[in-house]
Amino acid sequence: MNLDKMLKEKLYDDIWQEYCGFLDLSLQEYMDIQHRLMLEQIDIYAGCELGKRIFGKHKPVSIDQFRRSVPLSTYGDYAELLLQKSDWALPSKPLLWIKTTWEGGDKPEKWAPYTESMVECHKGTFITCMILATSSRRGEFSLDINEKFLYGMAPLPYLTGIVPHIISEELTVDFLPTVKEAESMSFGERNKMGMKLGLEKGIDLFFGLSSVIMYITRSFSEKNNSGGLSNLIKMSPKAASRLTAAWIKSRKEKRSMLPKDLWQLKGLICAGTDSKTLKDKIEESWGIKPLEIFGGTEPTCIASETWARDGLVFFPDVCFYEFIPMVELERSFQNPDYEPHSYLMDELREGEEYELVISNLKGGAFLRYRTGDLFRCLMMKNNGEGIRLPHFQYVDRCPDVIDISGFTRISEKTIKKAIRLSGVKVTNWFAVKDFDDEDRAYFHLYLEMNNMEISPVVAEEVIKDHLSVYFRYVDADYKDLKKLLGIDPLMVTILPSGTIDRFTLTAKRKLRKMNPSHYDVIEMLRMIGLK
Amino acid sequence: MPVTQLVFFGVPTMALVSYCLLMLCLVVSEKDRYIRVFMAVLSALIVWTASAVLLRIDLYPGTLFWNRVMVTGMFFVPVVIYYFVSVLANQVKKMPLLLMSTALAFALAANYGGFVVEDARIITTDVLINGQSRPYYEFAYELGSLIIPVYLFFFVTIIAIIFKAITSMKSRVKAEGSVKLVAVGTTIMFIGVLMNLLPALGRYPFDIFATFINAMMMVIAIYKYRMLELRFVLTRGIAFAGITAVLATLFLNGVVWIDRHIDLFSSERSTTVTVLMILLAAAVFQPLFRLAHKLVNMIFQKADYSRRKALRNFSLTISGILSLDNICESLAEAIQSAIHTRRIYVMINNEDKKCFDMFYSSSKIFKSDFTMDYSNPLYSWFSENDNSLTSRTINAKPRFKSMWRSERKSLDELDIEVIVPVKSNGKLTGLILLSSKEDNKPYIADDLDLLTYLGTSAGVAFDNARLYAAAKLEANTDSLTNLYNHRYFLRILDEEVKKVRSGEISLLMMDLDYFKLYNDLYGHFDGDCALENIAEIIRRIVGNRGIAARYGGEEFTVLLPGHNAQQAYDIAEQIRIEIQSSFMEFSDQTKQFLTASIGICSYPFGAPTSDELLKRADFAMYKAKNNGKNQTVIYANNQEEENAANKVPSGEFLNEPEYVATIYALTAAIDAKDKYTFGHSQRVANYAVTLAESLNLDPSHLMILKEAALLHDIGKIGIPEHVLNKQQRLTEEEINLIHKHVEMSITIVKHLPSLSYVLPVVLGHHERWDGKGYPRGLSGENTPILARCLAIADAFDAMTSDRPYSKGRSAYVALQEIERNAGTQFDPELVVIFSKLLKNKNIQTSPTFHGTQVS
Repeated sequence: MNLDKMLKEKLYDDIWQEYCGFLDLSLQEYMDIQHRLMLEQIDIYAGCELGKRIFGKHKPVSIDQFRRSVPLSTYGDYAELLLQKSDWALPSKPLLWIKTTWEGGDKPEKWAPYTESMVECHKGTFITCMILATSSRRGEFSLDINEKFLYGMAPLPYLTGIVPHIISEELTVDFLPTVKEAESMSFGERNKMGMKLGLEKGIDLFFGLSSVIMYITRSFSEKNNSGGLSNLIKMSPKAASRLTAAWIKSRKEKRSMLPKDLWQLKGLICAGTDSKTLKDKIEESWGIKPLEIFGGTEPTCIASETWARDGLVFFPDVCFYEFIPMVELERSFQNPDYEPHSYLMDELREGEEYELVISNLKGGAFLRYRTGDLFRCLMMKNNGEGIRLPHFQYVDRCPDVIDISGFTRISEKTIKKAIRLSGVKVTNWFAVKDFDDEDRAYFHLYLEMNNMEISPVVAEEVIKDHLSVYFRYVDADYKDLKKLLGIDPLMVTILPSGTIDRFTLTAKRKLRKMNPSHYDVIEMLRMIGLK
Repeated sequence: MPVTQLVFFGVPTMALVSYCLLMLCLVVSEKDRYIRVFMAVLSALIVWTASAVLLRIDLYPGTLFWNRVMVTGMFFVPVVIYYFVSVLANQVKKMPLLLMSTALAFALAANYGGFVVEDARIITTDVLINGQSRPYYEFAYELGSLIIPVYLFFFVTIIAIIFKAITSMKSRVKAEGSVKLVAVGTTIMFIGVLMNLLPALGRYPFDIFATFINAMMMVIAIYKYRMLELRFVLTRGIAFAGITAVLATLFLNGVVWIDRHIDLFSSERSTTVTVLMILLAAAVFQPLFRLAHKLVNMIFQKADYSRRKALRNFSLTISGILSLDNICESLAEAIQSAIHTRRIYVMINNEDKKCFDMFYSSSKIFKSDFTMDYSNPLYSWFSENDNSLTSRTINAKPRFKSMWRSERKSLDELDIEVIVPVKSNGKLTGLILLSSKEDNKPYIADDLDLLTYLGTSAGVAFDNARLYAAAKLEANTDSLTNLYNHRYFLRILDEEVKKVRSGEISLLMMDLDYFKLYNDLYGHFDGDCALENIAEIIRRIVGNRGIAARYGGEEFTVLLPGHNAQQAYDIAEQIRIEIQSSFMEFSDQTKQFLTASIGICSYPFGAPTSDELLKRADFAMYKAKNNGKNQTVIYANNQEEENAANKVPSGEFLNEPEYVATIYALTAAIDAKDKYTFGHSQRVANYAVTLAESLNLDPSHLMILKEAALLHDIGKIGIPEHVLNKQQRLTEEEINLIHKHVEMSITIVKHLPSLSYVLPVVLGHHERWDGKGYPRGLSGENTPILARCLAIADAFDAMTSDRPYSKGRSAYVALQEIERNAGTQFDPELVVIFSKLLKNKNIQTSPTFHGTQVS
């Protein structure tokens, strides 16, 4: 029985149990599921070429043995087979290959295989997210058939493109615009058309990257508040009446028009690295608390907030999760050969930050894969809501990468390449992720240069423009930031020559190139009088 | 009776009867939270309407009392309906309920304090109907001072219900359809109660009528809200109510008829007569009521009849069955007749393999080899719970997310819709798996209850059958190898041969070569291990193609129904080669000699009876032995005579001249190779035998020792001469090579079966008392005594003989060395005896022993 039928028959308790029942599990039951499915994965994995390369002759017979014998991995370890899409070498035949950008990698993009089971599982987890997005109490939700869904995400072969294709088997959803139309449109056209249709039909659900939602919100406000009601004559009566009602409502409250004046959403789903900073603003504009979810090309959609919106909970049956504590992470930054220790979900401590390591279940390709994403364990159980599973907050990418609005990830390799190609005589540098007054992320590049002949202020602008050209060239997604979100992600500060070395000598510690400690940066700027 | 009077009495009575019937139905049905809350609503309604009826008949303690009870019910109704709507909309909030409860408490206090209704009474007046004076009843009441706030509370609650219903519909929170009905019903109730405020209307029970409509709408709401079981309950309830109504009408008509003819209610008739007449009418109708109810029960229990019959038959049948097959058959029949499922499978707990094996399938075509591991979450679920599981529950419960894809796929392929635990004393002994129903309808709660009951009943029978089967198997099984034993084999051989009609049946008779030697060399424990390993090989290769048994000692038999001699030969060869290669895998070379000789005969072409079949397979096996062992021979018709002539001698071979000659020939060969130890074997034999004689060992042992001593260094044939005769100190590698001579001796001697009895002694002569010797590191008396004698003799001669690298020492020095090593290298007691023999010159030494000096 699919979800449509269950909704028609009003089997609400059954629906909740099927999709959100995992939130009733005890931690022990959760771990039992993790262990057993991981053993299945080891079993499947051992039979393929990739498995033979990783396991050697001896297939691990227990989870402990697996974690002892299989080293942590990165995409580079799989690149040879996955970039060639070598189906024959994989644990299960892929149904789809999903693409993402390989920032700082040897090739511009990464490909990940998705088996039929993984796609099925992804369908289930996304429906869970939709149910939770329309829920504010345990067991209560308002998701229904034929919801109007503004789906502001990238199409196939990106991960977010799977959902509109697979969900229709379970649930009838009215995507704005339709999946077929959306796939032939650019990002901007899609959003524009979605909003236009939303004006006529209404919007029940909205899913997008937090940065994109905020961009749409800003564009909406600018457009509707500048044009007043002059556009009404071009609209259908339904859209016009909706807009008029919204306009009256906003005027009554003496403020500019916001999306919440037009639509009363049932659910709003957001994702992306900046969600933490943007969620409150999104709620303010859309009148509904967004549900944050977490996913990625390699792990798929693996975590969602609950009805209480107070932390992400990982789905028990999508990936096998391990966590590297910050202390271990620091050790591995200092010594790249060091294999950091990882811990399981039931071994974590509240308040600590961890890098997530995943092993795909259900025939996926990645084993003990370092995602590079940092999570803070907020609580080991949520007594208030009666959830006995750990809750997490997405912190950011690991410090060695700077993620900008979920669109691009700047690595040390990217920066070095851009500097080298630009021909700018940079003798030393470091980069820091920061946010502007409107909570938009950017990366701040501190440079030391030889032979500064022009004033630093002029030079900073010139060099910024110059480097931006090369960043756009080196990183395919970089230009989208400006084009799609209107963000200028680079800021340059030129430091007096020798500043970084002087800091190293004074502080007696080396400054990390990517995202050095916030306090180290303050100390350094103080040293040269910039603070 | 005037219409107003009918309304006056009839409406509350009808409402009360309906509520009571409905309540009765709900009490006997399976309850969930919706039904429980609705029962609370019904209870309040019953209080309301019952007191309205009692008020009208002016029952003791009086109208005012019943009026206050009625008002109590009336106040309770909206509060519980509010709770009911909250549950339906799944939006139960504590605060409003708390507020309402508090207000309700005040309202009740006001009611019983006389502030709501000050006075209430039934006014009876006489009216003329059709020219006759009839009593006319009217209800009159006076409202109290707190009527307005109390009624306000009442109406606020009703408005809260309607508001709650509307908001939940608007927000499209679940169950909006059901909530809509309750909203409409409550509005009607609101209007009905509103009429009470107008005493002109309030004297008629509009409020009760409106509430009745509301209650009916709630029933429909629950019904719409997928109350599958309620359908049955309500259908039966309505049928009861219908028949009751018809009979009640007849009864009332009967009373009216009597009244017309006898004028029951006229004042001239005494009350006693009236009561008697009514009782008489009731006595006539009472059996009719009973009959009607019985009829309804029969109609509605007809669907249950097949279930109950199936249950009864199963319970009767299984008590006398001890065969698991038959229990499964009966179980499947019972399920089939009650539920009409497409296929039924039974899985049995296999505690050894920690899994559930497929044991039975109701289909002759759809068999399955599906097994369910203990790690499967279904196992832990059923261990903890006694209820059946549907496939939908399995898909929905998060606990089952840990099921492997292959496990889910297996269940899907078998089209399993329900799994039923079979338990005995709380322990899961089996599982019943049911596919979809023949009519494709889903399994309902009644089905699952029945299945769970059948599972529980089958549990005990399963346990008994398993115990019986285990006992039977134990009686027929060889305890060491777990193959069938000799007795069972002879019985089954006879039965299987009798079964043969047009095909063939072959028998393999297998005997292990050198097994006695293996036992002698390594002891019975290792021998038993070897037998276990070989039994496992046989079991694995034969599988379900035949029946394997341990015929006795080191003899095995395999009966292969439907196999001709050539097919049997192929299987026999597989077994033989597997035995040979598995024993070749031993790192210890000395263990690499266990092989099998196999004889084959087939019925009916090779033998006319089962006895002959056994005898001729045995002949073929001896033929294999005669031909040099480790081979398979198919019985040929002239083989019997041939075998009789060439039967391998099986007794001891001591003192037989041809073997003695072989021994001397071999001794000569080693003496020729190692010139420095020329005569060493002969001297060692003399010393050892003299030592053994003093231990009073019997002559056969002395003979074994002598021959072992002569052959103890035979392995040196395989060692290069330059190593044997090397004058310099030997390298470590060369020392290791020299050490190998013991194992080489075994390799040579094992090809001379007639001399195999010397092997334990030869193999043990370099073992040490402290366990640091070679090749096996035996210690103390674990080394055979003959080998310990040989060790002393060998060491003594080695020390007193000239060697390539040193000159021989004196007998005195050699003895001192032996005495020094007593208790570490040599058996201390034997050293004492050897020393005495030497000192008493009972041993002829060369050089001669001279007390304390070297000669």
